[in-house]
Amino acid sequence: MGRINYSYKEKYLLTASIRDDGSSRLTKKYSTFPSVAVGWLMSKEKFMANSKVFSSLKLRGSYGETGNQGVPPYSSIPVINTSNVGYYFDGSSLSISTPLGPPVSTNLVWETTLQTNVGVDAGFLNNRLAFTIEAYNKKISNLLFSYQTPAYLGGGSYQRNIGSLQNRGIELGISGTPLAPNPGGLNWNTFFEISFNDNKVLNLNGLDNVIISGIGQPQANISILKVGKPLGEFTGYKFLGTWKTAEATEAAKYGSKPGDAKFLDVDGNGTINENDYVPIGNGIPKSTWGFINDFSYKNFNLSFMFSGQEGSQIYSQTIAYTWGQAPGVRNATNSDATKMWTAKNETDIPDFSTTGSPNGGFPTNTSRFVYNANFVKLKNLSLTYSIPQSVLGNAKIRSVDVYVSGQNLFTITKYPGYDPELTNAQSAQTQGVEMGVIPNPRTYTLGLRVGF
Amino acid sequence: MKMKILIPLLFLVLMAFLGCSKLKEDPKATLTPATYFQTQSDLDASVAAIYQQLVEDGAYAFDFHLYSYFGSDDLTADPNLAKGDQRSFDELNGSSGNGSIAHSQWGTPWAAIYQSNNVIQNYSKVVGDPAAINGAAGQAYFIRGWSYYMLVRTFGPVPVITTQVPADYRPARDSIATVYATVISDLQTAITLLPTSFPGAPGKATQNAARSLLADVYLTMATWPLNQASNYALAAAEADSVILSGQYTLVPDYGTVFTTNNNSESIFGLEFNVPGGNPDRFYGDCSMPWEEYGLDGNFGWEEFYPEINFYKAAPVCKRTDEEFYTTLKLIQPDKSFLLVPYNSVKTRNQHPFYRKFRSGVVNDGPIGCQETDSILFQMNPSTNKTNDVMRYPEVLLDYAEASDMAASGPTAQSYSAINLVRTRAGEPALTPGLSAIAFRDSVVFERAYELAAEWGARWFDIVRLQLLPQVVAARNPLENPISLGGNNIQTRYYCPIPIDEMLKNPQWTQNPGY
Repeated sequence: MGRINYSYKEKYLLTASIRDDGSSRLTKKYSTFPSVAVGWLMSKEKFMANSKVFSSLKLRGSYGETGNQGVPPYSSIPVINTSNVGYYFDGSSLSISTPLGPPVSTNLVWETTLQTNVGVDAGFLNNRLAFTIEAYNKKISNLLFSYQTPAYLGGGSYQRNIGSLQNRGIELGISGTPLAPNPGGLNWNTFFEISFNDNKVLNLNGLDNVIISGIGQPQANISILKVGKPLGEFTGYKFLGTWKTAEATEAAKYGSKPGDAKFLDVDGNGTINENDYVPIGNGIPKSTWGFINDFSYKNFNLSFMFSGQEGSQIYSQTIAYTWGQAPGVRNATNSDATKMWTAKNETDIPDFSTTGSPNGGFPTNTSRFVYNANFVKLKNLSLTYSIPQSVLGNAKIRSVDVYVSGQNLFTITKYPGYDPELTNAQSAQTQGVEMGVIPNPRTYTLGLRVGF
Repeated sequence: MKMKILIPLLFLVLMAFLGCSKLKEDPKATLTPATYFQTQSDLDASVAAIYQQLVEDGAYAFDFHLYSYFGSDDLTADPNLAKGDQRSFDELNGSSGNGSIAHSQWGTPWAAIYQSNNVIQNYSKVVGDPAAINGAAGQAYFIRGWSYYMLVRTFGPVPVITTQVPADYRPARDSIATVYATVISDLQTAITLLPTSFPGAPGKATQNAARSLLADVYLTMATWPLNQASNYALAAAEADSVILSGQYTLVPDYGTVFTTNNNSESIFGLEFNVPGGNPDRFYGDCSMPWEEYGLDGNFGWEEFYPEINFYKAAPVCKRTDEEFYTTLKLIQPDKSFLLVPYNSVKTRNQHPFYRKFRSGVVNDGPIGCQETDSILFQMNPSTNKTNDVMRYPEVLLDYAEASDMAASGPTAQSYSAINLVRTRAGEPALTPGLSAIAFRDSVVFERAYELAAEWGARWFDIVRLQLLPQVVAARNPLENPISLGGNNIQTRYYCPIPIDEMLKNPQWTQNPGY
């Protein structure tokens, strides 16, 4: 690789590099990744030097390509597997078996991330107010993915470049010191940041426009990759509430009766099956934010942080389980069971009938168990009192702080599960899938901190 | 400025280092197809890999392999338990999202075909005894032919793949006739390659196993959907050659067939070994009632049982007694057992069960169910029972039907074939002088009870003779309700292609009605 750093009069900054990487694991082993970043410290220009408004102003931009060769060794060479299992041709003695492994890509190339950033850093009023905005556009192409073959290719998984996806967003940060610094008096520092993200799958190489298997746990078959949708879009039946008494005739066409769950018949063929799957949500937030404040007055210090997110959903397997797992095994532990449909009170909570369609009226891949995951949360709050030096006197103690703090003190959310902040996602593809996750604990701490 | 010189210089240095090594992977510790297939043991281990695909738990080692055949009268499932994957097919409302189908009935034959292609493509590289090499290759042809036969009868058109293909290969679905041509070609090749027996290895397919299967294939081709009547004679000839070989005889007692391994009527079966991690879970708990508990506290899994009217229509004979389980043993608080007829309101579903799959093999490893008429001692989900794919009675009945239909009426040999089966069952000889169709129907009736719940034999008869409307009409009101959802019953003869596979093959069209 080669890299140059160049700075002219500390106003114009340039960093450029080019690297050529090789990986034995790929079939196209070498790829070249250039990057360049430029910056302009405008505030150092003569026309800005005496600005009353700006104390600093920097414009910056960068473009870079990086590579990922994240596949196991020998991903492009077919292998014969050796294992301890085999077959018993006489029912008692083992014949070792050596199955042929899955087929391999004949054209396995570097996964490439192409990222463009532009940003402005501005400081005002002697840097008491600072403002940062950054926009990014990141395109990952030749995404490497462990792809499950069709059954006629043995049904195993192999490493493949499956397509490309895009991440675009804007990040905004404001930090400030609203009150003039006042040693010993009231001081206030505040910081707010928010990021907006837009993620979508651009293409899956034309072979498929959707990948539903091999996406990973925790809940198989709920997360998919689909062109035009964000990573790990949920897929399933759209839940329409219950069949009402007035709809008995229509319900019967689906093998259902009033009180059974009603799902959208997308193709209108009178049967609810996998052809009626639609996108029903996504676990990637459109925006996340944090708001931190820190106050101090004399020996007291108070700080707290709020955070939140907007625009994502959670698919909760846990809540599905609170309705019992299967037709006939319905031992609900969900308090909404008291509001189940009855002929007299036709609510949209299906009853325990097993006649519905599909799966006895109780499929788990349905928007019924997809919830809005927006939340506002007080992540932490702490109050500290530092015993003054005058009190500590000549004792050989440098400092004594007494504090009380709390984490996850409250959450404002419509999500009926425990904690909208956490899911069991093991990868970006399974984001938002919740299945018995342990929530963030609410903790209170009373403490004494002594420094020697 | 110095930078002006430095930049080009840097890049020059960089370029000089590019591509200095080859980065070639040399997997010395890993076997690859390019270096494998040198010795007979390489070949044998590759053949064992084919069979291994068949006996994994999600494959053919449970009743998963029957799920799409539950529309048949010999199979139904509990209305309330978590048996939706099979019950939906019982209600003629199966779907492409059925995970069991995707794994077992679709995935298993393909996995076996994939491994078979590996052997067929490479066996000629092996240097050694030609007879041993041919014997190994013949297994691959046999299993591949059988696997395509299972696929084409279950799913209709499927792609025919007989070589190793690249990872991005996405074939069209071949016509049913093309698939059958491959089945025949594979089985004929197997017949030329396979010996008459493998001493000490009863699990290996033999020449007569291939002939027996080929007879069944021809018989199916003579009926729906191909309706090629000329195949009746071919079926009869193949079956006759197996009969004349004298290699097989019926086990005198029907019940013993299901408690012994590799007995005198077993032509081809899958072998299991519990301690080796290959348990057969089709026998034992699998078919036993949910409400039956043994003294050891285990209970039945109730995966499948026959429809009521199927049992009621069974001939009164010893075989029926050995086949069906009609008095349930319900454990009481004092550990005694209350004996309850299946149609009592004290049973959960008022259905009979199968008796023949309860025990599993009795003198080799764990027993599925240890019981007397009044006590249930132990129950167990795993046995070493060989799961017979092809038994001699099927060859006899294939012969009886094929010889009858080929000659436009039963011959003396047709009668003697079916009467061998009937005699063993404890039934009288079949009425003489039947017409071709009446005789055929008698054979089909006999097959239903001789082969009930075995490898979809009854379902495939319903398919090839287009019996579904009358089978549905004969259902007892206590059965699960049929739920066609506006689809034509004619579309139910095929199972839908699993949804994952449809998405991976956008060039395919789903079977009608799904």
